[in-house]
Amino acid sequence: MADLGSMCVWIALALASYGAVGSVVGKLRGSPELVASSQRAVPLTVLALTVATLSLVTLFINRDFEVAYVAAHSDLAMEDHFTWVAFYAGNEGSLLYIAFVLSIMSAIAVWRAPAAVRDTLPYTTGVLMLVLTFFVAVIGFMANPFDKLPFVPLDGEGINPLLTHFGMFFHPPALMAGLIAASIPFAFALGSLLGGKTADEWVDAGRVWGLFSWALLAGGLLLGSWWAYTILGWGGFWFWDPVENAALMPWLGLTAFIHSVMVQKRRGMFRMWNIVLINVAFGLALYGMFMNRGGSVPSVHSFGASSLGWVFLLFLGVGVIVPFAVFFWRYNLLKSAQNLDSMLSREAAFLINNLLLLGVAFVTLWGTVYPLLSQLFAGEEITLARPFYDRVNGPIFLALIFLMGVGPLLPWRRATWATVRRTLIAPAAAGVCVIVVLIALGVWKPYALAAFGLGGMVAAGILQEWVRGTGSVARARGEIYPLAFGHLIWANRPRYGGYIVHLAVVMVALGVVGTGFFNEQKDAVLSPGESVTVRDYEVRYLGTTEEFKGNRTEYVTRVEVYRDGVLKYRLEPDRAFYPAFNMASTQAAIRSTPVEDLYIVPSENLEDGSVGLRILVNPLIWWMWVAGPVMVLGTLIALWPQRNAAPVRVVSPLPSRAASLQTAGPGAD
Amino acid sequence: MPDVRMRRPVHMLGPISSRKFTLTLAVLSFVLSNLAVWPSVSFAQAADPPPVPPITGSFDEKEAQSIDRMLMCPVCPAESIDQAQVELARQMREQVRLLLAQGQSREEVLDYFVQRYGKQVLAAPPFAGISLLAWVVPIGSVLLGIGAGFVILRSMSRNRGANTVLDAEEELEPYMEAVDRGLSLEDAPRTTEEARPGPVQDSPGSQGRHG
Repeated sequence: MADLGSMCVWIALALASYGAVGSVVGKLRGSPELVASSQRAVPLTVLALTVATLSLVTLFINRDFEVAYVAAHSDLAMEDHFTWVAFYAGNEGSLLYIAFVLSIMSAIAVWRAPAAVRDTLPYTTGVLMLVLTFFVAVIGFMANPFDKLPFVPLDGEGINPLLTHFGMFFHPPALMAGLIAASIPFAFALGSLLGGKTADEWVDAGRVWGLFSWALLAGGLLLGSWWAYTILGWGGFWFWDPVENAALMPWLGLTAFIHSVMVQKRRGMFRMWNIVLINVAFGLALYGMFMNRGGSVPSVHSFGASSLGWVFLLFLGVGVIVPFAVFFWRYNLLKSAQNLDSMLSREAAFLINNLLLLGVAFVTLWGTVYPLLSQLFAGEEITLARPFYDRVNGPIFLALIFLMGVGPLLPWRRATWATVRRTLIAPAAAGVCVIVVLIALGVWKPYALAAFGLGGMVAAGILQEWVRGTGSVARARGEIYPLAFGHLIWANRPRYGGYIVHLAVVMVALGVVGTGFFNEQKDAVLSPGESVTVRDYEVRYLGTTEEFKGNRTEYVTRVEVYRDGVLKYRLEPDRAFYPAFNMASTQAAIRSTPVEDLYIVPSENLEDGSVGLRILVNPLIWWMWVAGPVMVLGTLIALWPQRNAAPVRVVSPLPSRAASLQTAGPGAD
Repeated sequence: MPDVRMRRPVHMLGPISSRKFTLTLAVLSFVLSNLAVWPSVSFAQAADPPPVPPITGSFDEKEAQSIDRMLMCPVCPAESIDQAQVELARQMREQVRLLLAQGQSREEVLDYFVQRYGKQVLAAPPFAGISLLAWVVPIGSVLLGIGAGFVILRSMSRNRGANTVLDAEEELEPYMEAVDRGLSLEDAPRTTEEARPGPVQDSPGSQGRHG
């Protein structure tokens, strides 16, 4: 089985490199047969990598400890369903996962490529297969999960306990898939440029795949935060750790891209800018993978120690320099079709939003890189951690929320001050109301007030759009409001899907600001019967039960929570100790409401039966986790294919806009 | 009651948690790279400072917690002493409270730790000396970027081609018309916008946008 898997990796390598070289050479030589044959290699890589993946899964299920990777990441005690997690618990397996996902996405991207990009598809295929070749080559030559040990151990080392959490089934695969999915819009852009096209053809495919990658990253980040919140036992969810940053930066780049690409789709502007953005997003995604595959970041100082790090660094360099070289080579193809009509327009707001998003990405990159630079060049060791990011990125995020409220309400092309006043007055008033009410309630934290006010403004703006639109549709079609609302959203899915995502972002902001500024934390060591009070919760510790469960000893802490003297909850946060790993993992007890979370986690169990508890009251964090599904819903709506797109595209080769309109107009009637 | 902090935990918490937290990091990197984990464990054991005497006097716990978040745990990468659960972090937290109870200010407390562990113990460097660079460059670049964006927008709008004013209402109108006709409407506004007689420049590159 290991040999079969290994063989499939080599077959995939051959197929991918054939696909890369063949499609480009075939296109250059004008040989459609060669192009077609190389494009057929793409689904075949899926086949080969599927077999390789299934082989590794089988090896895990059989606990074939002769295979080094299986021995390192599983043991006999592991339940079978954790195979899913064990698969990507190490470098080798996660690279195989990445290659597998990339091959599937490439096959779909090539197969479902819109007619507009058909001409440059060979280049796109070439780029995708080149990226795939890199990953499969790294697997084959440097990190083969099918490598065997010289002996067969009796038992494996076991899966890491921190991975045996529900969130781990989705968080890493979503993030890895999201990072690698950034190659698809990138390949469409680069392919279009290489083919010398006028740079609008790739936009639809680029947007759809960009959104797809964006949504995977967003979901992965939220799941990761949720995982950290429930299992890491310090009560937070995000701490600007270098590895978190590595996944955040490409997401920021893609956020900029999916906004800016709408300007090109609708107005034929920002062509160069979109190429730059997708190149940057792809570069940041590669950087993200480099950070994670080439050794984790605290050891960036020593990434040379892992040869994998250098290979990734090299690929990162090529992956950034070559696309920009092509960009400058094809520079004159990328002139805007339109001029900017006014500084007061949605286009302008989008550009500023892009710059701010890139600003956050840059600050974050700086934060990860500067300590190294400082040590190298100034000989001074400093740390840039959470307070740095909070202080520098915080205000930029506020500005972004502001633009999120204003941008979508501005019309394309040009707004007059009168229109701006008319559309913005209600949202602005709502924002001010929120602030006034909060001040009246005794909240006096300028930052938090600003954030809540802006959040209120965004939400009110979206609501206003919905109400007005629904009203018009209902009047025009004589429909009842819910139906009219449905029609409104369906009529312009990119826009209204976007609004839903914006609402989700406001919800995330609520959670971040609520916990960041208004939480309360208490650490206490309690003997059985003692209690401690946090805000209006009285937490009484009853005792701990110790239970041995195969690979771990579980310490289940029993507590009672009283509010106003009334028993509200009986909770059992637990802490498990894994002797094989000499480590503990915690499972916090969390009682969640939209107002606040009560979070109790045991941090230590002492010999005399007393327990160290960390108790937090985290206001509004509930909204953050609910935002996830809302965001997915919004993205799905925005992504839902538009049925009338295809026929219009067929007429696109017609020489003038008037002609294409004539075809599209009556046809639509 | 004996001082609770001096009681021994069931398992040697220092090393355990330190490994737990470095592992946490690795897991966040989607994966466990065990190589990164082992060194810091021995580190944690080596760096056990003397225990802190019991605290007498009062201090503001909120202030203490905010100081906790400004200090990095020296033996666990990328974590503040508020998060880290290794013995050293625990003792540093005690020390923070002890110094506060002695009436020291936030700056004095931070100074105390800088003198012991070096400047990198601070979660963010001060706005002074060479580390000023850490703050000025990113803030400056963001401001410059925004400035450049405005300049570019200004120059893009200077040679404007069209003077059609569209306001939000007008933009919504085509949807509603289309709704009346019972169409699928994605392209409605664009079509109308482009059909509008006016100085919208035609260019060879814009054909692809009809999709």
